[in-house]
Amino acid sequence: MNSATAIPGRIYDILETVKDPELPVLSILDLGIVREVHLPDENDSRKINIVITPTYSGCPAMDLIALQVRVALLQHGFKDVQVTTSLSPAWTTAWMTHNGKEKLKAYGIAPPNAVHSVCSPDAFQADEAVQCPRCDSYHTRLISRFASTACKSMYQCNDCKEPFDYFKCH
Amino acid sequence: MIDPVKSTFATFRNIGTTITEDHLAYLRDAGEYRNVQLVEQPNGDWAHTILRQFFFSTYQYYLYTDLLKSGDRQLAAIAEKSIKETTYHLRWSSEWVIRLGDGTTESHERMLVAISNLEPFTPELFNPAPFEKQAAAAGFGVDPAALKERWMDKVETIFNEATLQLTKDNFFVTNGKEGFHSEHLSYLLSEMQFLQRTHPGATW
Ligand SMILES: [Zn+2]
Repeated sequence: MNSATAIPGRIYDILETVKDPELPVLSILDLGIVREVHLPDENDSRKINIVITPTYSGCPAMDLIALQVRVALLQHGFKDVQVTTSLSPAWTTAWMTHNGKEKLKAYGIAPPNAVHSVCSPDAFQADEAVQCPRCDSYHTRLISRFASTACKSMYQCNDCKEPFDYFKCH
Repeated sequence: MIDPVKSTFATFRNIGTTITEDHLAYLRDAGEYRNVQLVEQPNGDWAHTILRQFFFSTYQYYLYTDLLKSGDRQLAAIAEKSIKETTYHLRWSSEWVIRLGDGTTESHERMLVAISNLEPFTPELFNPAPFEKQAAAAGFGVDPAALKERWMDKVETIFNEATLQLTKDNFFVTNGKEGFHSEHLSYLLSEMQFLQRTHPGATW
């Protein structure tokens, strides 16, 4: 489900202004965490229900994001705003938009690969190569499975030597 | 066990205050916590810390697998969300157990110490408390006894690769699920609850 295509244009523009507080280059639409937008009352266009889903459970940004969604909609004339959180289906990095991945890379964070590496608990499985966001080399190595936040791991480029965060597949 | 009538949490409940997540986290005393004693064991040597993680992640992995079938939709959704992260933790901690167990003589020795310290806390994972039996019978919980065989298989598979063995010996009875905890939980709580205890109701 690609929620972004289903969202009416003016609401899309409002939601696009709400950024992930930990990754301010990404909007919540880039992240793919807006799952549903409902206008429940045909006769009252000021009522709106938004369903969002957390990227990671316990993500400290979720409360703030919900608050920011509410404030942004209220500022644009909505009067009755409901923001609810849904856990199922669980968020996956596959919902991050192409645009979002480009923005992450430009920000210096390697975007998640297409192949999901966390689906199996098997130890020492082969991972898809991670591309250096600085020089585009695939000649990189994992330094730590957890980095500046739990949703990222740390890599280093063997060519340009840059250490960088990788937004891991999920 | 602490007298529940005296606890702050029970007081809130008795006067009809709506109980929120914050009450559960910040206003329960140690005796009101239902966690297994394994998870309150302090960090220490890396072998010890990572083995605690591995034992618990393996348990969580099978717990959430079974909870996906819970009759309670919210619990099933929490399981669906959590299992992705637990899978990653299991993979990560498995790799460390293998790396240390099948590493140097020194790292292998440290893993042996970690096993003898932590293995005695693992039977509690699978001993169902009365509330767990009730939840399983009502169709929304999981009887932890049903997880034991899969846990044992996984641990033995990883330990094989790590050239380690469970001792299956020296067990003592731990009963965190009924509110009996080691002293370590009190230290954890006094740090975590400091602000709420010092400035009750503080918000920012
Ligand atoms: Zn590079």
